[in-house]
Amino acid sequence: MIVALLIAGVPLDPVGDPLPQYLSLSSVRAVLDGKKVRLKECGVDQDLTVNVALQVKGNGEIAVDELTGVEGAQAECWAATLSGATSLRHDDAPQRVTATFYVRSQEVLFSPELMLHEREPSPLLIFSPGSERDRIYSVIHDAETSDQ
Amino acid sequence: MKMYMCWAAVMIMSCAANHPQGSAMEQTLHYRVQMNALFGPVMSGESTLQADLTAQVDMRLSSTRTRRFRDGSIGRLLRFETANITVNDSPTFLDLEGRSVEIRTFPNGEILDIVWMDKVSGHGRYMDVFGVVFQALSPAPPSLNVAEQVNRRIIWPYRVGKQLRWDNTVNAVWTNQGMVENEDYSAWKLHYDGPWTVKGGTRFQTPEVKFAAHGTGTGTVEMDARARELLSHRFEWSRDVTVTGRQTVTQSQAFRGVVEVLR
Repeated sequence: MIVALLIAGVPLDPVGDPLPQYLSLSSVRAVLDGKKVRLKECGVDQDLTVNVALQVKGNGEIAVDELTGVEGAQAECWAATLSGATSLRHDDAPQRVTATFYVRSQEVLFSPELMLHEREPSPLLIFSPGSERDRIYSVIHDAETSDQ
Repeated sequence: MKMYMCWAAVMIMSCAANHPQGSAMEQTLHYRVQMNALFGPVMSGESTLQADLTAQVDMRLSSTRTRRFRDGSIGRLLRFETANITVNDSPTFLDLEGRSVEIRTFPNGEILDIVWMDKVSGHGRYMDVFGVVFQALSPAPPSLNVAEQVNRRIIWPYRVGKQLRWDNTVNAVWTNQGMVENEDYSAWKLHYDGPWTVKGGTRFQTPEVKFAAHGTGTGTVEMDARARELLSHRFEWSRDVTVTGRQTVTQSQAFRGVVEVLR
């Protein structure tokens, strides 16, 4: 009976090519959340609001594109801590992520307003390979386009 | 004890019942798709937002079975191996090579879902517009006697998460036009024809955008008589598209092409 239960529990057809993986907000959040302890080592004597723009490459490596709100050696420490290899491997072009960290009361906090900058595919279902695309998008989506 | 044995047998048999009917393709299949497209002007009321265009698409795709779902449907990874487009006879940027979608079908080929369409849609990728390719690769013809006719809908969805969905439906009349035989293969030739509608829209978005189209879909499919797998598909589809957000935009679209299985 145990054997029968084991057979019944085997997933159907588990073998196959691996599916593509795409970056998700939750996985990025988990990795950046894990950086807080090491960011604290960069110094927490002064209250800070640090905005970062990151590139997450397909191999999981993070590169820091922009870092504002922190300066000098402390900024170098933040950049070194945030960049480098992570588990965020994915099968897409490098993805831009923006996030805000706060240093308050000698603690590093992480804003929930994490942004994964996905491309805007609109206008959908209308073939528009040229520069007219912006105007078509505007007519569909924007409020004040009646005179265009 | 006998009762337990019977129960175990029932369990094992119920697992077997989930296996798909018909031939499940184990190996990777390769396709070539060539398509000519005519696009009418993009209009918003009396205003012309874009002039008419022609486009030629040439792509090679691979289809690899990836998983089987509990309802018996099959997931295949459809990968764009190469993809080129010319617009008004000029080569134009197309960012599709290496990208994949997962296409989920019943064993007979009927499309249930296509995942990651957002990765192949929009500017520079355009599979939201050229979505007829998915139907062309997996037309799901019915089993018919020679000269027999039957109604069978061709359906496939376009979906991006829960935020956006439209459904393509062709109320097709299928006809078996008989056997085609040559040195390489024997194939059943099946023709279909019917009205094509598209209906759907966005959710949780302001303004809500509605997508609609009306047209016709016609084509001829050759299915390998022995393996019951697609050999070729010639298609000619056209529709008038309406996209309504703050204002309405329209465009007529016509696609004529051929899908060939590469051996």
